[in-house]
Amino acid sequence: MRDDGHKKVYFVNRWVDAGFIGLFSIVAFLLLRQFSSGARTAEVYQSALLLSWFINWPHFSATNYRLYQSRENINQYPITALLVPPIILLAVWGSFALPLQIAPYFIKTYMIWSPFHFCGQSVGITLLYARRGGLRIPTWARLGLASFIFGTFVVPTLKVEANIQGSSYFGISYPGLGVPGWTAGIATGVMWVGAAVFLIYLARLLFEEKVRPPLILILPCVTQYIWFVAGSNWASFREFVPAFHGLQYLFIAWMMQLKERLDHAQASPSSKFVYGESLKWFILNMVGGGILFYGLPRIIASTGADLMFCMGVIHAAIQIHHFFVDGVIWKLKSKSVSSPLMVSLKELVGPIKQLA
Amino acid sequence: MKKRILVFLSLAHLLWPSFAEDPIQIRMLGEKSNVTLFIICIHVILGLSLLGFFMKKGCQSNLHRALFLLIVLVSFFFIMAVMIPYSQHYSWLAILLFLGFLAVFKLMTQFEKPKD
Repeated sequence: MRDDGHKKVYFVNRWVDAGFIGLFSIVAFLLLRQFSSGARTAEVYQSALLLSWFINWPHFSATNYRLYQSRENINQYPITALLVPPIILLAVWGSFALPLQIAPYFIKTYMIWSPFHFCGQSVGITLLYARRGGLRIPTWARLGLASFIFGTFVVPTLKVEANIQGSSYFGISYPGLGVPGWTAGIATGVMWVGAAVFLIYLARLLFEEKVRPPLILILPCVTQYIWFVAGSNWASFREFVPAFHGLQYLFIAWMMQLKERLDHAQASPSSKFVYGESLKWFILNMVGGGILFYGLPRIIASTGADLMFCMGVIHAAIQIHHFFVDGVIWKLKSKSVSSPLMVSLKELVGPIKQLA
Repeated sequence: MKKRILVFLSLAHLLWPSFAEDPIQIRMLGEKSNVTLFIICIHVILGLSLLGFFMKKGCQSNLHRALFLLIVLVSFFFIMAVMIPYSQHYSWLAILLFLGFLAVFKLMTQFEKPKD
């Protein structure tokens, strides 16, 4: 009984799942700490840009594909699918019309929403693996988990927001809030209390209920900590964090896509189906990502606008749209979402391959 | 959550008059009375949208709740754009704005729900 549950914890197997969920990023961090100066060199920037084509941009495209691939999906989320894009377009228009009054705040909204969104994904992945492992995390432990994961974003963000000079994104300067320095100290305390609460839950599972929680439950927490706290002063690593976030996303979305396509097409599970559908999905999203992030800013810039400004505003707009869409299409409480996410690769490849 | 957001709004309303006296904001938006009017209007819109959102589920459809949230987000954007120059002088305002960001993003996780 326990074995069955254990086998279903992972989509592929413990090492592949762990790699995509965070292990690759942890290894990259350790390697960069060992062999790089920590500076954001041209090589680092170019490598991250290259990864954007294969991981980061396709992950945004995958969200759009999932929402807009059928009329049924659009009807299920009409506001997100039909009303949010024109509102974001209005903000884009405002940013171009008032580059000093609107654009900095549009970028600021994106800059704070982005890590918040990363944290939401990490919490969601932890809950997903808990569910796959047959565990139902109680509210108090869930609160501890969320406090730690969101704390990893709040702490460095408060440190950055203490500086009123702000920062810039593709040359667009945006102001800092000017929060007092002591707030980061309080947030750090809350973050560690959250970690302690979640660890107490895991310890109770282990020692009182004699249930061995899968190790992957703590991986998103560790990964978040590396991304935002331990790696925050390591510019060469920070450059890759969006790609690692995209990798997490693509892995889960890939499984979801395969399961939904299999059910929709009423196809038989087979490795041919998995390869064919995966290739089609990945190529489509790579092209989609390229159009959105590479093509669109250049098309707008061809009208005479500054390319850097176009890239900043358009990239922010696409990502804000992604935060909206992601927030609605991945609700684990919904049966239509959680049910396909209980699939494993073995089920998709089919029983014959499984025996082989 | 509802309580926390209402406390945030009440605090912001109580502290309002002192902003209207500040020359920075007057420089940004023109006349002092315009500034006060703008700030009050945006807060009223935000407050009403929040109330609309938090009304019992039975009274409002999923669609309405999402629309209310969208108005909350847009209103907060304008509040943030007007207030950030001040937050750099008043640290308590900076903290409120930061908490406002978190509250709005948290609310956005309750945007449209799928129909199972």
